[in-house]
Amino acid sequence: MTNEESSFVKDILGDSSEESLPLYIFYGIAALLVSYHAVVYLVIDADSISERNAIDQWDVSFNQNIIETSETAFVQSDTVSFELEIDADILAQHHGFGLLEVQISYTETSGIPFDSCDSVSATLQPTGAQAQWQDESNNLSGTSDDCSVIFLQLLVYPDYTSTNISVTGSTPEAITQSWSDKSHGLGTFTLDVDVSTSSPSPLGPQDNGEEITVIWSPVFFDVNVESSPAV
Amino acid sequence: MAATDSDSLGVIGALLMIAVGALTLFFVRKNENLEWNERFAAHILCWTFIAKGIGNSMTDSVIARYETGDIGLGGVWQFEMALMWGTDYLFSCGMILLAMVFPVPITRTKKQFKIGCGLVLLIVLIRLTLLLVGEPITVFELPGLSYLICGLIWGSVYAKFRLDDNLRSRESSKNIANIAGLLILFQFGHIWFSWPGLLLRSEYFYNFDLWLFFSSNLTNFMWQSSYAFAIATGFFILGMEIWCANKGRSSMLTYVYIGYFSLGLIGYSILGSDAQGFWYTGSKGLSELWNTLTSSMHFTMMRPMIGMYIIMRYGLFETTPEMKPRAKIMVIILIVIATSAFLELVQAILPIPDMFSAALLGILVALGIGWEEKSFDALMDSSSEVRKGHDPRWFPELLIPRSSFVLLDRSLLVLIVSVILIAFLQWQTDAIYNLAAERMGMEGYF
Repeated sequence: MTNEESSFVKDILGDSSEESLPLYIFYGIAALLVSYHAVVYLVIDADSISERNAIDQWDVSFNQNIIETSETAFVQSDTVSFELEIDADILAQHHGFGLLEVQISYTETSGIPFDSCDSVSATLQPTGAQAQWQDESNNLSGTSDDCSVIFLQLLVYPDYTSTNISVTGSTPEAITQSWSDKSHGLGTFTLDVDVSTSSPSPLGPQDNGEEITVIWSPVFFDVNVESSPAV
Repeated sequence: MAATDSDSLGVIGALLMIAVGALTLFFVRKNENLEWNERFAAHILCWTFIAKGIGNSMTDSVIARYETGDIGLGGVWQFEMALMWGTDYLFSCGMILLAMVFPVPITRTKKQFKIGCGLVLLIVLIRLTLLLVGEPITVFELPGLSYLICGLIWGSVYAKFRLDDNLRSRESSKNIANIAGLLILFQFGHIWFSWPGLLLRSEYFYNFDLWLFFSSNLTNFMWQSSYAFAIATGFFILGMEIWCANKGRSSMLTYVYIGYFSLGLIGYSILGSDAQGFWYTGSKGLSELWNTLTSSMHFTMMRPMIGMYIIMRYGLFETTPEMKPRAKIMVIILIVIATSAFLELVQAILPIPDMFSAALLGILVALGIGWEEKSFDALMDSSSEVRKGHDPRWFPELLIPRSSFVLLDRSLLVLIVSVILIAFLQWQTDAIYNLAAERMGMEGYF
């Protein structure tokens, strides 16, 4: 018999029913299980199985907790550093540390007539603590020469905006986990404040500095994940 | 996969597959003594290993990103996902080609062989085109087709050569049945860990959503039907092996199959109350840990090992005295990679100190190399005959020039590079993100 004439299927099945019996058993088991699966999938459990195509959609909200601390120092015509230390114990009380807001305020304290406000500049130094120092939304330095308050802001936790977000897929545990990295914000934040005094007249009494008040407002958050209607 | 240290197991497993594929290809190309079907099978096996290894290296990353919700616009997850799908197309179609010629060719003339190869190539091109135009994961890909075809062919070959009274007494028949059984194990092994889930209507089998929101119910049904078929094939072989063992004709397949199906039974007590499929691995919960030790272990460790065993045991390797030392070096490299992967897994699960695990690695590698020294010759010299005593019609002689195999290698390399490029395009054009958005809100896709 040439290859053209022979058939693999014929040879596999053999000439007698005894030869082909194991193969029919194999095909029978396969047909039985595939049919069983079809009945379960398409009839018995059809509803519960089709529900899985509903995608999990999660609303993620953040409960903010701002722990304000303030300190005051008299700054003469030089640079003074203020520090805020965030340790692991503080971070452990919340899911994460989202933002750091800093207010620097001062008033003219010389008491000299016609003495206008001094020039104050403040800069958050990008060292000492892990934060999103390069983020575009940051405002790491500011100046004031009219006694107005200087507001600085630093994003600490990546992508944190304090507004609710929506997540598709995943699980509440995994989402919470992704917002629970305690390394963000751990360390010491340093604010350098520089005062440049000005006096109304070089001949009269001289302004020798300002009292600067720094209010640190670290924004901690706790994540709340709730299921939203399926898409 | 949960984000744990055991994540790296998948990457190590992927490297292992790529290493097995690439190194074996080197030795196969040197082998002058292969018949046409064996040579074709060896080349295909090597390239499917390389393709699957590349895809597997992406899997863990994609799952980790999905679990943390990091699947936004412009994300690299799109490249990873498309590459995973594309390489899986190559792997599954490669398995069909393998089943077509090895261990017994089902195509008996050059014309049949060409038609078979052409049809498989057509399936690859259809799937890749669908991926390229942003419409992957539909019924038009014929999901699960490779399980069905390979199971039918290898299951039939196994049944014929293991059970037929006229054939089974020959050593060559035993070898053919063993190869078929091992190849089925290679491809279906991970599915057998969930066999009680199929029978007992468990969520971890029926609600397991392999493609997440990308697939429709119909696509999932087709895919799962192929799983049901794979489990049926496993049942049949397991039953036949136990029956043969009862008659005093047990083989190594008997024990391996019993092991896999026993693990599946034990796994039911762990996964039965869970809705997580086999790709939820890690070391956090018991079910993840179980999946890591079973299905993940099959993908990362067992598949390369089974592949390497088939290639070495059944003579697809060059075994001349000149090449043997090089082959030994390859085996040692693979043993070291596999051992370190295994230890990585152990370390992720058990809190053992680094110093202890380093010492353990040394001991295991030494044992592995010791085993290799002792067993390598025995493995290479044992009977690998599959043709002896059989009617020539089972093994038709097709004259395929060696240059065709060079062309085959080049074509498969081009296909892999094309898949990488397609995946890159999908990422750059946000095609996968748009597809996800579309399918999440759309009814009636296939």
